[in-house]
Amino acid sequence: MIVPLALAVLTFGLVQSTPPALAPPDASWKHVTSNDGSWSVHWRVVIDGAAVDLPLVRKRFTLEVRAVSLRDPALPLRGMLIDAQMPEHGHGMNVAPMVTIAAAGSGSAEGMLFHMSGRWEVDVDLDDGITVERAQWNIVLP
Amino acid sequence: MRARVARYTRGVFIAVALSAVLSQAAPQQVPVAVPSSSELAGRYLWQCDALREPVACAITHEGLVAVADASGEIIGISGADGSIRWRSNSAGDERLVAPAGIAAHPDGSLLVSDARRRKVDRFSSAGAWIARFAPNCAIGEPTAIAIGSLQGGATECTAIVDDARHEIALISSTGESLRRITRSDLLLKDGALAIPSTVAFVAPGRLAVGSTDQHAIFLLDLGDGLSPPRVEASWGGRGPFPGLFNQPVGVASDGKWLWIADQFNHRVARQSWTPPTSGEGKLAYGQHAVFPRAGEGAVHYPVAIAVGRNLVRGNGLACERPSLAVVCEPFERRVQAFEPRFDEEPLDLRLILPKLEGVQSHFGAAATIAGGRLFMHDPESATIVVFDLSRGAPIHVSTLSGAGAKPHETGRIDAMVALADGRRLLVADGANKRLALWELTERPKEIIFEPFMGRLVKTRPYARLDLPVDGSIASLAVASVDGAPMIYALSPEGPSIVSLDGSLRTASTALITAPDTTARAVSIACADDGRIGVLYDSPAVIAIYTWRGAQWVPDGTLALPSVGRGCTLSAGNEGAWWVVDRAHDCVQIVTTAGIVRTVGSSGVADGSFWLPSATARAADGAMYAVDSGNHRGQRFGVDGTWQLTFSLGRSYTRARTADEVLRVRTKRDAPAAQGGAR
Repeated sequence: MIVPLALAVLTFGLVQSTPPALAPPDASWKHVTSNDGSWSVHWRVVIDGAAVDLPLVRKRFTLEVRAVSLRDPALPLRGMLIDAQMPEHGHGMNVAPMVTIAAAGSGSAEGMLFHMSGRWEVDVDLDDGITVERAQWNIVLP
Repeated sequence: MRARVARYTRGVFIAVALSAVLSQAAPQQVPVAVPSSSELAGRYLWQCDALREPVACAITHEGLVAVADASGEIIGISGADGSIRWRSNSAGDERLVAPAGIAAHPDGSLLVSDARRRKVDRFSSAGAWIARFAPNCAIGEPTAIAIGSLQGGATECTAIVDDARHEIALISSTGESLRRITRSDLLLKDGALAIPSTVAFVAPGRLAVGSTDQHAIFLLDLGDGLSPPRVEASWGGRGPFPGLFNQPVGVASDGKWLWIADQFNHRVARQSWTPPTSGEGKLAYGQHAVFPRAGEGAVHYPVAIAVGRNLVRGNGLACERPSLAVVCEPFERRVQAFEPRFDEEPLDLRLILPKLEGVQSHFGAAATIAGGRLFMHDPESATIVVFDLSRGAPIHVSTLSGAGAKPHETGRIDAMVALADGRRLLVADGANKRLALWELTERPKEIIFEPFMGRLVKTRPYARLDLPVDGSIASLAVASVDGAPMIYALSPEGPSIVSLDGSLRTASTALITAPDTTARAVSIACADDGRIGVLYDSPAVIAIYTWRGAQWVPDGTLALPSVGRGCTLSAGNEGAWWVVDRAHDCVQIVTTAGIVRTVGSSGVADGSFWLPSATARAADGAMYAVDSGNHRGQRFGVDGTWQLTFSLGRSYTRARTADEVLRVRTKRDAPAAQGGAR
């Protein structure tokens, strides 16, 4: 009984010591570098628990994000904001997604919704406790 | 056959006759002109333009209009015709420095707050100093002031905004402190804490509080003045529609209505304060003077309002009308008086909204140049405009940011500095309390308007800069230290200088010694030889500092006795400094030998200024000056000669006289002006 418990604790410790963001993402993850080069950011879209290439118009989805500091990989992520806007139209989403930040630089925005076709700019603001740096990318929906 | 034709002809005749009779009897559909919300607000009475910087006003029960002028005096004006009765610039054995608030006591005396002397004084209705008010109450920077009473109406109470601590001090008639209303008492709907900027008693025990940067109004129940206040209602948000504001700077009440000086909407709104209809009401004075110097009802950047009801005739001051409303417009250096109308708001009225759409040429007090790009900003829309200078005349090529609280949005632009040869821009956002670093794309081969030229790189909150609580950044400058950019941010609180690297990650804050106790550090600049100059406004002084031994060491001062109010400082050519003198509408070029040249004078002609607010130096040494009061920018050569005038979408190089400028403005804005308040 004691041995399995010890293994469980060890396993938990190993998981915690290996930040998810450092784990090699599978092909469903896409990559960007933040606007001042401080963060390596992987992201993917999840609908109904399955990774998909792109969100669908008027279909809720979850955006999963993993970020690791390129200045110091041990630097923890203190906070994260996830939002999206249509710059050509001057508006954002009609919904407020629920952003959850897990340990070791991963987070997700649940309940995102692109309510119309066109270019959406996804903005992820990463807070290391000193500055809040933006990573951004475009998603064009037909 | 003939009989049939006769019957037919008779029938037609009867039908035509009947139709004619009926058409005359039926009511005709004639369009009826529905009066506008601006026309119904009140009738324009008079204006007094012999003022410098009127920032607050009050009306005594005898109809005297008392004005606090931030240039250092108080003025008594007849409510009957706007004529000046007296002026005073002394408070006992001291001189007034920066009056910021004024309130009328029921006995006719006046309370005046002086933000720089950090004192409140009582004056007679003739402007004679009587005594210091509440000398034992510690108030860091008294600004807006209101006199009323607590619950029941028997206990007099004075409310004074302390702009240094962002609190409101409640003080008894004997000058004793009752309690302080803090930011935690002013909770916004999103959970943020509002900063109080202005106050007015609307009824016994009821205090209206305006929060300028948060665009909100609070109605507080003060109770007995000792227990914590209770928020009865709050409303607002940024926008042009009734119930929304764009920088509500002043409030006043006639007991029935609340009047709000809505600065960037260029109007004075009248709204209900009583729950549950708090914030309702469509009548408003002004709705934007569409071109500078437009008056007689058109309002331009109002910052204060006073309303008097049931005025009595005394000393020949009061008008025949029992009610009077007075609006302060420091942008026009005047006050205007209106006769309020309609105790009840008419059901049928035509709503007039501010004549603003998108970004305007309403340039604010910041300008910066690097790499052939000139950056200016529009306060109303909280946007940054980018001009390309590579073709000689400034061409508007992009617009950055917009009003809001998201990281890529801006609340209030206090300062800007261009970095990395114009590819980056650092912005000090005083409302969201953060620095925002922007990056621009490479300049395209063709000059085109590119709306998405900029993207946000990062922000750094003021709270992470080791500033005093609620500290601010008033000015930014950049120097090259060992080939790397070193950014200097001036904080008037302290005052202190924050040194940052180009990535904003390393920062150190150090105090500097002010040469005068009442002067405020307003601007910082780096000379070509590495000297750091800080401009203090009044008395105007340039203080030079050198970084030595881990601190800023004073390295000389340049006194500027002929500068009325120093506004911004820039590094000029050949070691000179450019000082924008807002009081005298000019730019002074200063060296160690003193003022060597004055550029511009008061007016609207090309080459003249009205409330200039910033300068920036181009690579060829030319001076770009922000002429805020004339809604334009101007370029001057190295020798100070005017070269061109520009704004969004236009520029010209043939100098126009004042008459020509006014004629062009009137013609261009004529359709909009016809809809304004008259």
